[in-house]
Amino acid sequence: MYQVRFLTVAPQQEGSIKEEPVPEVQTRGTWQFDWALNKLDNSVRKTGRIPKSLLLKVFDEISKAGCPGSNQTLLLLRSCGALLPEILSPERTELAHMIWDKMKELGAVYDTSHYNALLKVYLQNEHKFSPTEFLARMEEANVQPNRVTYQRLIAAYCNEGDIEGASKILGFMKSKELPITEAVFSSLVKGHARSGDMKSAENILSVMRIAGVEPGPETYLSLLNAYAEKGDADSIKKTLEEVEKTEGYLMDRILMQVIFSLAKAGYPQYIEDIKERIKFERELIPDVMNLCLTLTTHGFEDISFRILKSLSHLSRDNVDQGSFFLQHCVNRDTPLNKLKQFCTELKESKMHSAPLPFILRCALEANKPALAIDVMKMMKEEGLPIRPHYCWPLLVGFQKEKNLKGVFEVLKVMHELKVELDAETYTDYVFKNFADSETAHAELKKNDCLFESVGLSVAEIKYEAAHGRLNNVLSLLSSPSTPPIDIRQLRSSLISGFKSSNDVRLWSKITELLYKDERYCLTPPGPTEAVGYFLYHLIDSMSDSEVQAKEERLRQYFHQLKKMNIVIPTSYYSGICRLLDSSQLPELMKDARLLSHKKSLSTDDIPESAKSDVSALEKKLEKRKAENQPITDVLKQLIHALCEEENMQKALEVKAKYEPDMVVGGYAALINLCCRHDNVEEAMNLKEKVFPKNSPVALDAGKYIALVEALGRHGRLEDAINILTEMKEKDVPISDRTVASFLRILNAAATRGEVETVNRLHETIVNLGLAETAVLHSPLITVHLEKDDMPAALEALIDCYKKYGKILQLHNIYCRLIEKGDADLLQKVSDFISREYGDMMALYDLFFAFLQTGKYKEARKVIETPGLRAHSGRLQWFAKKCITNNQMETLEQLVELTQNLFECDRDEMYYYLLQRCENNGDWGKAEAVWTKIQEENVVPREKTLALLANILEKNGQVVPFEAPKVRQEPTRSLSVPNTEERKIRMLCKKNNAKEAYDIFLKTQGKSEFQYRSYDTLIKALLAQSCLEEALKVKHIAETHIKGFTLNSAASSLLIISQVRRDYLKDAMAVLKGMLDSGLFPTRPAVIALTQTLAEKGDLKNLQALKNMLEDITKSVGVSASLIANAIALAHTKNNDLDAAVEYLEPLLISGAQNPDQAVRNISYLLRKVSEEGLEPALEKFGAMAERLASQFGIYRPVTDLFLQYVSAGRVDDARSLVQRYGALVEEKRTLGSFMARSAVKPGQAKKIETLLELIPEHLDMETAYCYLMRCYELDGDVASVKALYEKTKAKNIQLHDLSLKSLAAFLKKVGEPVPFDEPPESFKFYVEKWRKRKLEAS
Amino acid sequence: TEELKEYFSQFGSVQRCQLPFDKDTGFHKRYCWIKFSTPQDVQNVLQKETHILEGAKLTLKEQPRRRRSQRRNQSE
Repeated sequence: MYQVRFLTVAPQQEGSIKEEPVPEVQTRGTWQFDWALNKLDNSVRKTGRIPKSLLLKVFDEISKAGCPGSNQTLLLLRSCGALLPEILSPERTELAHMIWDKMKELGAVYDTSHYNALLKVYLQNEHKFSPTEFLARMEEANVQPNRVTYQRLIAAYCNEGDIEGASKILGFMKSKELPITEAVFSSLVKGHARSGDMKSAENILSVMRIAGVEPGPETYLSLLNAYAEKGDADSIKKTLEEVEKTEGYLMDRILMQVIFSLAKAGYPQYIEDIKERIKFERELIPDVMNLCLTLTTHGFEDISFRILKSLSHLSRDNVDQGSFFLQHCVNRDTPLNKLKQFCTELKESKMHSAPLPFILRCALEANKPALAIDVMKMMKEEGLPIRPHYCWPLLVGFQKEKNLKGVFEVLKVMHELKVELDAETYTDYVFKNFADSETAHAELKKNDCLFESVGLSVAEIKYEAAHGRLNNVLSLLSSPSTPPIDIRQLRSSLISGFKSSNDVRLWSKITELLYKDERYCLTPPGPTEAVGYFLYHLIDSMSDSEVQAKEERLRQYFHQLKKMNIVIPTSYYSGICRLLDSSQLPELMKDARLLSHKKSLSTDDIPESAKSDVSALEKKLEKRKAENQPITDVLKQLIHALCEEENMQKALEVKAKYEPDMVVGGYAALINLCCRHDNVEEAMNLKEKVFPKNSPVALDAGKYIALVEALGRHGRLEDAINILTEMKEKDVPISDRTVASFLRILNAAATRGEVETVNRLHETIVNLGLAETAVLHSPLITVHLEKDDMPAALEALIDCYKKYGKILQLHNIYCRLIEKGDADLLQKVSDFISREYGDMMALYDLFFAFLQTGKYKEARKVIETPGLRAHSGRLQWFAKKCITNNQMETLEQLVELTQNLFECDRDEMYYYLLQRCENNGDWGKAEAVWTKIQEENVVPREKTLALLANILEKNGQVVPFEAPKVRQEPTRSLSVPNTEERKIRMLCKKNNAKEAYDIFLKTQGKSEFQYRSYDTLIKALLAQSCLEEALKVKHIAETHIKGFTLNSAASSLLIISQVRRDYLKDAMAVLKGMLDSGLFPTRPAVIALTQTLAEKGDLKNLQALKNMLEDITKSVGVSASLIANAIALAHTKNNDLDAAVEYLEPLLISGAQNPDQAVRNISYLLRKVSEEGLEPALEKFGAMAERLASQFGIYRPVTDLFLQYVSAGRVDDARSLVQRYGALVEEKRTLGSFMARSAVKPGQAKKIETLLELIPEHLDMETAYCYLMRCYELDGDVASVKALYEKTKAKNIQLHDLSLKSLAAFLKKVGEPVPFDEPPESFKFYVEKWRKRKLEAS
Repeated sequence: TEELKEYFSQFGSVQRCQLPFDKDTGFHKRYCWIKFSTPQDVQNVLQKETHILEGAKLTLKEQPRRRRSQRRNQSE
């Protein structure tokens, strides 16, 4: 904080206030310290000062919250010194004492740091006090003084010229072997000087050197101030020249303090000489401002103004300078003539464009009416416009004071100054003082300030109208003394008056006046237009209910208007009709024709092709072909299905076979498929054929991208560019995803080092305007970095900037250049950045690059460039980079090197360091950071303290301060804060939910956990069916974390548990909650809930469930059939078979026609009724299935029935069914999956045997035997296994390798010889092969 | 208000200009709304870096919700 440097009267060694660990914080309110700190700290960093009002506000907030924290109090105390340049010292000290006492009252506990801060305030304010008493007070409070305390007490003695007192303490410090720093010596310089002994004062410098302490700026300042106080200009000059010779820098701020000393000591004549030595640069502005403020505060506004004018050469275009000065002058009651002189000079020197209006505003804000009026008079003289609203704050002020005389005075002044007395002035600021406008009128007249004007008349009418006094409005309007008024001025008040009145007669009369009296229809369009407009807005401003309530009155109103021959334009008329219609009162406008357009939107939603069954589609296709029916749709579905299965070969074959029937969509899918399989040739062929450049048909962006990508990989650059051009020509919509793909393509080429490819593709993309994000340009540079071609990289960088105005990859280029030691190029890039972005940016880039490459010495040189300021955004960027990349050393250097950086937020810097420590769990380093923070005299934010405490605690260390509680921050949720919580998570991971729960209960009330921990625990409990426990945890979580919701997995588990316990209502509620918050339940949860509801016959909830799941069945992965089956089952359970069939049958029929979301199978229903022996139901559904097959050719239900018979061992029923409906065997896929399902559980060999018996000719024998073999294996039926193997050999059926592999394993396990060569590969290999074969076959 | 309207009219046609006042203090609320006829006018205004009107520096913000209208804050 340079402010300290600026106005330190007794220089101190900063940075050691809190050398001892801060004693524990006793109390802490809920109030957030951060807010106050930010406010004050920002103010200090930006301006070097704190406005008194801000300090008081923060103080107020802290007091209100009660229990101030240790650092809050410290913060407030520290702000009561030189940081308040706008207040005189005694008042500042008073403020400090007030804060001290108040905080103590509120329970603040003071430690050494607070006493030291108070001392500092005393010194800065030159407050006279007794050091011994101060020490006694500390002792009494049992607070130990430290080195800083002693240093400051010495300074206090020296302020009074009391060398003896100072020496006593100095002796004491020496006896305690405390180091004597420059701060002490510079105090002694002042002490000697003030005791009148300049010789000794000067001599201190040599004493210092002997003691091994080099005199620094502090010492010189002390000496210079001493000369200034004596008015010894020669010595000042001599000293300055000497210092300039030896040190040569940082003198400007010191010089400014000397100016202040000279002013105070009464030697203004020497100031000019000092001023000339100061280089008034932009960086110095905050300091100069503070000097000006301080000077003005002490009554040296003329000197202050001279200094201010030194800034005139720094004026930026059109930015006013000196506002702060003028404002402060107003606040300090600078005489009017001086103010006027300042304003004139500022205006003349073009530093301020409008100083008089500005000080007027200041006067108004500071509530100085007399001054404000004087300024207005001055403005009048200058010929500046004076607006009515300038006087409003004055009127408000008097109104609040109930000072009518003041109000009248203002009005008189306004009149005198020829300020327009407009309607607003009267309605908003004058009439409020009176009961009504009539009283106002009378009172104004009585006090000689009734100035007749249009404004007054308008105001009276408006005021009366707004207060609903329409009779007064009417009389005012009809009064002959009322001047012509534009009706628009009255509109809104009249409307509100009309609305609050029910007197139709008055409505009509007023309207008539407006229409017929020439005074009120001045505007060209005439009364018709004006009244129409008014009526429309009147109705428009009424709510539906208002219109409805006033229906009858409105009718009368219209009626009367008609009688008065009032006509309005048709446009307003029909507008009113529309309004009435929307208020559901069409009858009010009988003869109105309401033209309402209802646009019928053609919903052209093409449903996404459902996942289709390849084999079924093929069959269907062939059948259609054979029957000479159109096949395009089926063909498209088939192609899509094949694409989905990634079967390029087959897809291309199908395409070739049915070429004439191929549609565009099919080709598009094929092209994409070819690109995925890197078959560029075919993809391009297809594309050229179906989507040629000149055809209007386009692919979508994703497919074009796939093409470009594949072409790029194959080096077909020209083709790729053509595709991009085509995208543009065909106006293909470009999404964010497309842009990301562009970047991916470019980056891929850059990594391959293909400069030409990158450049050309990039050029095309950009030239065509396909994408415009900056990051897209980055590969242009990356490609050269990849090739380590630095000159080219740099050229690309500059080129990029010139063309697109973006700087990219700069940090990488810098680092690479530094690593290579290429000074020339480094200079070049630095020059370039300086030129384009200013020196500051270039310096930061260089600084970061040196840090990154470990060249800290060079980095230090850069960051210490005079005038460089902290740029929090840039610092954060680099710090975050270090944190993410685990660069502790670099980060430490960053923090260290920025210590003296102007405006640097030190707390933030240390917070970065701690974040890194947290990630590493490096508590040792964290503790070191803590010491550093104290040494640097930084008041840490709570956030920082909390993080520090967290790191120490987590690593089992003692926290040396009371850790503030910090609300859950999302950034923090990645780390686990306490040990219990970690233990709980660990146990949950090990499935030891019970134990975790026990720990959880024990820690209850002691600590709160993170979101994720609750979630984990609940999930673990549910997984072990501990529903009650889980619910309890959930409840606790909900009370601790606002808006706590379980995640999808945990909620789904909860549903399953609830279903298991029959808490169906609760389960439904949970499901609803999930869907409401956008979570998807898992498939098992939905199935469990659906089936149980069906079992219970709970139709109501099933229907509700169906509605809830309507749109998301696909996402969840449950088929539409499931719910339909469940509902039918529920009907069955309710003994309403007819309803079940009525419900199900139409669904099955429409399902067969619409492949999307289709209800096709009824196997679940059949299995349930069959298992539960509900024979009538089975019969009923069987009849339905047969009907569907015979009448509609829908075979799936009858197939399901057939398989149900097979499953239930009702072979005869099955046989008779298949005899009647032979086509059911065509449902190959259903049969296949039936067999597959049978072969996963033991004891189901019979099912496949039955199938083999009933429909051998329709089964794929190989597959069937494989499954059957697996069944026998599962049953451990060695004899059957062997028999079956023999049979395959006899029938010459080739078993699949997977089957053989499995068989071999089985035989070996049971100790039988393997009668064939075991397939050599692993199981996995054959499983894969089997899967592929199935895909191809189907 | 009139002065604001006049000032901004140099950039394009101003449809509407509102400078709200706080009736409790008599000061304006340090912002106002200017509605332009065309988006191009708005761009014209935004192109100029600093706007100073009677000693007050204006900060401009385009208001995205209502098209063609924009808001500015007045501050020193």
